[in-house]
Amino acid sequence: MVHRFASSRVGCRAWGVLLVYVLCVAPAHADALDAHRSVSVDENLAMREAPMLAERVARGDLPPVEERLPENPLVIPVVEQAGLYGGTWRKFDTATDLPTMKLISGYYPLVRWKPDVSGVMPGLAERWEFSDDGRTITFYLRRGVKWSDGHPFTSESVAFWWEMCLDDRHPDNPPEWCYSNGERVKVTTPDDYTVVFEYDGPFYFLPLVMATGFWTPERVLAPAHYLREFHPDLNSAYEDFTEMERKRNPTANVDLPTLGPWDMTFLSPTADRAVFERNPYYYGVDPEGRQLPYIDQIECIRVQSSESGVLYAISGSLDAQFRSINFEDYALLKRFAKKGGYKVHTWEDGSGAWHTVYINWSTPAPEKRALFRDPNFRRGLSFAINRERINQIIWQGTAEPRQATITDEAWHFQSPRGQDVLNRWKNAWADYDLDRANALLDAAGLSKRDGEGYRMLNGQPFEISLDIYDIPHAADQAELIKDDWKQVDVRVRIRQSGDVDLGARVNRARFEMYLRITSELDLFTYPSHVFPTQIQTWHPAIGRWYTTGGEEGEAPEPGDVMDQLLQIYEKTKREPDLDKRHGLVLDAIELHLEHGPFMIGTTGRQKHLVVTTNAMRNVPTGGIMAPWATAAPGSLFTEQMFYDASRLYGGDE
Amino acid sequence: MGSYILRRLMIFVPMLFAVSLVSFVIIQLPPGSYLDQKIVELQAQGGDASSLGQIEALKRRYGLDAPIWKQYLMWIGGILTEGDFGESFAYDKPVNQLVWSFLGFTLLVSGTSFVLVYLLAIPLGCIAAVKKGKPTDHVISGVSFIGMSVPEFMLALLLLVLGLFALDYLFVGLFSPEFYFQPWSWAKVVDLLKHLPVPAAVVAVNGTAGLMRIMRGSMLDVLAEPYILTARAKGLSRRQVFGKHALRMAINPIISIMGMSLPGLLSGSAIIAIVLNLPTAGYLLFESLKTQDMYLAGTLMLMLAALLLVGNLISDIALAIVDPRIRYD
Repeated sequence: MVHRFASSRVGCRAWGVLLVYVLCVAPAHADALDAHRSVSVDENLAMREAPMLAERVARGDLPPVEERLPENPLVIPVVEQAGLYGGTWRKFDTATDLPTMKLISGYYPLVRWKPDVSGVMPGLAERWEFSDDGRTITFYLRRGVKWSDGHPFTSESVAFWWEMCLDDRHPDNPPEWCYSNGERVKVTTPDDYTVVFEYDGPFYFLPLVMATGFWTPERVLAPAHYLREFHPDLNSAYEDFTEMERKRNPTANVDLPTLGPWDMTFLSPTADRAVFERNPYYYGVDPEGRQLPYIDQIECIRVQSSESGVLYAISGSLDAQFRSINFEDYALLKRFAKKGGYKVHTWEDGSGAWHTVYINWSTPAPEKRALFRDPNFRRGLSFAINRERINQIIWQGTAEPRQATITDEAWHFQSPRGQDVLNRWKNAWADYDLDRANALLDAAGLSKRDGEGYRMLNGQPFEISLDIYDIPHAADQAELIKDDWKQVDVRVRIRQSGDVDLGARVNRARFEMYLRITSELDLFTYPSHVFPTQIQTWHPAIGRWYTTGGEEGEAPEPGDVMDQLLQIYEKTKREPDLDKRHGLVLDAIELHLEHGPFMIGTTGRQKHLVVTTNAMRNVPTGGIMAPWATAAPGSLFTEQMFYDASRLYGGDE
Repeated sequence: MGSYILRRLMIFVPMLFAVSLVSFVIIQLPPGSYLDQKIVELQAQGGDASSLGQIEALKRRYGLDAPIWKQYLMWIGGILTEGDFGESFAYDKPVNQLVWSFLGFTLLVSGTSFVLVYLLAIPLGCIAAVKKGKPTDHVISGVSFIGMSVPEFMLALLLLVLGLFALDYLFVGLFSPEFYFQPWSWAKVVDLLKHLPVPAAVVAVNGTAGLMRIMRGSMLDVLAEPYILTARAKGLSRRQVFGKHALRMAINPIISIMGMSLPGLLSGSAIIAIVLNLPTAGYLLFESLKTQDMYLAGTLMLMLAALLLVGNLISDIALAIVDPRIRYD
């Protein structure tokens, strides 16, 4: 039988079916995917490209590997050792747009986050430089990189993206990071391998922006040569950009060229099965100069709940899954690990708090707004939460009771001062102390009680509306928080909403408090947990004011803490020295310690379950999964994972 | 009879219009829209004003910036003039294509369970009625009560657990994992046929149990009629009494129910589809309502209504054929 099925554990197959299978189907598999079997293990390790590609080169339908690789390929470190080419990686996804697949195959940015998130490193840009005044940033692209269809990758890609941004008929607009002092950046491409961004004022975040997520390369590095076919000005078949945008969807169009390690070659009509085959032009090599990825293809199924995915793991039909496995399934997965032939790794989720109570700074009702802005009130509520109980009940004691912070591993905290600030931040108002809670709530003007014994606000019954999403643990935690706050006579009403509904209300600042996970590695590009710059978390109205340039939303009071935070953020953008920039972030967190908390954390440092089959080698030793901007596991180089010889060459009966 | 069917068919037109209007309004009722979710997503990624601009463009693209009545007219206009049911946001695909691609597996699962329901329920119901008060009746009735009261998703979960712990078998999906990415072949068909009975049976349990109760009750009513007594007094064989005279009368309610259960073919298996991971239209409907993928949801609801109307028509016609007492006025 074919090696890929050797590990399948469906036991009830009738002999007849097996016979039919062997007679009719098995010969059909002697195709490209078994190409590695035509070479020995030693030969495989000596090859500079995958055997399946070598066969195509020999047939003459692919140029030799030297011509496919750039002049200066990205050298990707391997976790244990150089690997064998071949094999299929089976995984699942739960959404139609295959986000976990995009985090693997879609992270091909100009600038990459380092695997340990301690900083950034070159990606498709070989290097970049700032002018002395910080206003001009020049990216130098790797020469000779090619799209998966063989077309050269040049600065034309970025130019095309910018052209679309400036075209009013196209949905893309220049993103916020394209503005400085209200002036739009100038994007020019002096030659095929140079891209220049000229800003009105200094902007030191641009390389970080370029390093975020699969969504940045997906837009900014557009396959112009392919997309122009669907441009309404160049093709009279199209009246607008609708068709072009549809063609641009990487998980709906199998023809879209990519720069990533794997390229989608098949998508079922019901969008529940997708195949990603190795990109023969991928620009990365291992330290010995052998082209990556090692694994030939990825088969991704879409399941309707992650529990089904767990069942696939247990049955041994899953090779590596980095996301979408709930922590509750830990015991179950462990129990069947031997039978399913897989390992369960506990990586960091990266949560500073899961969940955090986000308190709307601009709560609609004026009386409540004044109360919510009183630090005594927020501190009182924080002291009233029994975090250890939440830890025991929801997380079986595996989490850490603490205040809401961003991720501990964030690069802002690397300095001694950073560690000190982080320490104070995560412990601030995080004890369980009902006396102090009661005293603080009394001081906030909530000393009078109503007939049921609950605190009243200005002589009126008082109730907090706590919104939750339909996500794991939210409802349970909300009940525990409600119960905790009942102990200090604060009445809570829990409201569970669909994603769409609550998302829209948060967007319009029409909520009082809601639960969300706090997890972020980089506050320069994703400032919203600390700086009120965005239309989300605890400050949507102020954020709206900031992002719309004062046209909508609520203006901060001059000199108040919101104003100060926004000013620090503006300074951060303009600060050339990285250490000083980190310092400014710490200054902002000190403001939180002075005026906060603005968000109340419960428990943090949860683990993230990762499952890999025993035959999978070079599995990264750890990662931080929840902040998507750093694109784990894509940034951890899944392209250097490989199957050991037993999987690739054994199991041949 | 021809004019009767024609009249019924003509009523379909205003009915379907009304249904399309109501379903469109219902989809709009919950606050927010699919784009609001998109906004949240874009903000989580970019978190800036440009995402809001992008949303405006998306709204224009999908016509969501127009008032609801205009959106409705655009949608219904597209259906009538071009057979265009709009676009699914989540799948980035025309709804027509999407629904068709889900229809095959849906009909396979629901159709199998549909056949199973009637094949089991009618004979079992009759037997229980004939043997009323005897141990056979108690056993059948007991099992049917359990079947009616155990939620189907519970059964599906029990199956999963059983498969996992006892049988070493994965009751998930319609294929064994190794066939997911294979082209159609004889072996894949065999694999499908092996996987089909379990979900079909789970879907069928509730229906069978319920239908069996109805069949039994109806049969008991008929058996109490004087003409049955007459038939027996005349010395007709049991087979003729029950099979010819009683069953023919008792089956009427089953036929009317059959028409009503036609929409269930499309939407019935939603929860089981989630538990057992089946690519069926029931799940598609659930998903589209959850994400407010409104043209997809609207189209599916329209299809359900159409199936209900057609099902009722079919059962009326069938009743008229089976029962000569029914007239067409």
